[in-house]
Amino acid sequence: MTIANDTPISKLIRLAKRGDQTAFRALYERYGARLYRFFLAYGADADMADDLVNETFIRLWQHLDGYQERDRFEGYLFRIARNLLIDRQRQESRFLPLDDRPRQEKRISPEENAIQQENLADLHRALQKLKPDYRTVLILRFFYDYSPAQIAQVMERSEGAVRVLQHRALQALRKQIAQQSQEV
Amino acid sequence: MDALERVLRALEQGKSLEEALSELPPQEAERIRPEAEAAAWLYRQEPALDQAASSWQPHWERVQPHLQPRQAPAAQRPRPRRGWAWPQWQRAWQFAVAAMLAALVLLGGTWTAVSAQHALPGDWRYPIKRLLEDTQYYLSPDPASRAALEITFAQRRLEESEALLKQGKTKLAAQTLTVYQRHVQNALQWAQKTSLPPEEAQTLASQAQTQAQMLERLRYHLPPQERQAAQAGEEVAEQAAAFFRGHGRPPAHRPPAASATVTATPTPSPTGTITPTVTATATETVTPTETPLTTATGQSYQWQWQGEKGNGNGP
Repeated sequence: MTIANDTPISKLIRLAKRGDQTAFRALYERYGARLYRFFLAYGADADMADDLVNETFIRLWQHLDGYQERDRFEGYLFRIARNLLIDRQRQESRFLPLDDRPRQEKRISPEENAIQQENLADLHRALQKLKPDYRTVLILRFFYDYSPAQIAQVMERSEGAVRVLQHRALQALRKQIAQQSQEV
Repeated sequence: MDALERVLRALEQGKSLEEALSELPPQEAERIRPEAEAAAWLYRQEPALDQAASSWQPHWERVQPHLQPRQAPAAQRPRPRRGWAWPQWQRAWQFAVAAMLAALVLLGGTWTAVSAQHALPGDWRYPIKRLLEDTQYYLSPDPASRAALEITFAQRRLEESEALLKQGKTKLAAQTLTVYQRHVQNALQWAQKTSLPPEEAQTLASQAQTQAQMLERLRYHLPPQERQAAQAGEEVAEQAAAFFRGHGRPPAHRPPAASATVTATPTPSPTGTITPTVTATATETVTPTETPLTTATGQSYQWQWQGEKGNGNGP
């Protein structure tokens, strides 16, 4: 069965729930990059982020029946990703490998690339010092433009709790940035 | 919306940090400046993140081997069948069948009961007819009603006997007449235990007299060997008629210590034993002239005076 590029997400999910792996592959290809970005922002290296993307989709396949159509699919995906991160972080600490930065394609000038590499390293260094919940809130709010209500769904918290978390996370991040500046 | 949220939205829309903070009162802007600076710093790192994320390549071959075949969604899987969880249409069907059966039983019962009213001895419905009569009898509240019922049932037996004779079933007709006699004897026994209203007593007397006449006619239609039953029945009917005529009669005058006991003591015969003992009281001096009465069947009925006549209330 072939899946058109413009097939609605809801249809892909319905097909995947019935066991259609072609539809599930389409979901993987549409959301893989966004998920990869999430893991990178969280502090994973390239290989780790890649593994985490694959593992998230394997978990999604197992828990696809738990998804309700009224929910935002990407939010459900991030919820699985966050739980996976929590499980992984208990097992190993392969985050923020500053000396093993993700290898990137050279599409920009070497100078620009160097700046961005440096920025990403700064980001990783700053976020790595924050609590996991702070990281999640900041990533979803500032890199995915999620509203506090949407973040609350992913984190299974109340919207008020998310606002408090966001405020504290920004304060903690500000301190980290200041410390990094002093170190430089 | 709080101040920080306003600044974050302004940054999200692409405004610079200073532009976003300038929308707030100076003191408020200074209070949230650290958080706003952190947010602006995050936005500045985003292009680096996008750049790094753009290198992602799908590796379906690493995912696909781990996908186990999925079962159909729970809603589409057939549910385990349970006795009480039949589909709606099956329950409706069951209800319809049960209703039809109930209706059939009711209609059948009603039809049987109605049609049994016309059943004759030998018919399969005849026991039902007798059962209904017994029920009616036991539901009767007092001796007077029971006496009247017995005379009514006796009338039915006569009619049945007549119908059987027309069908040529003479033996059954004769047997039915013996039952007739028992009804009349029972009526007399019940009448002895109560005081019948004069009108009712006269009605019963009239019915018994009519039955005696009927029996006289029937007797000639029976073969000689079966006539005995008709004769015995006729005599009992006449005796009952005489009793009822005297039973409810209002007293004109009361002679001292005059009571009458009617004792019918028939000899044992195939038609049954008749032993009504009637203590009759009368308001006038009655001298039975039929003492002793010997019937054609050899049964003798004796009127025995037992002291003073009563007041018509029986024993």
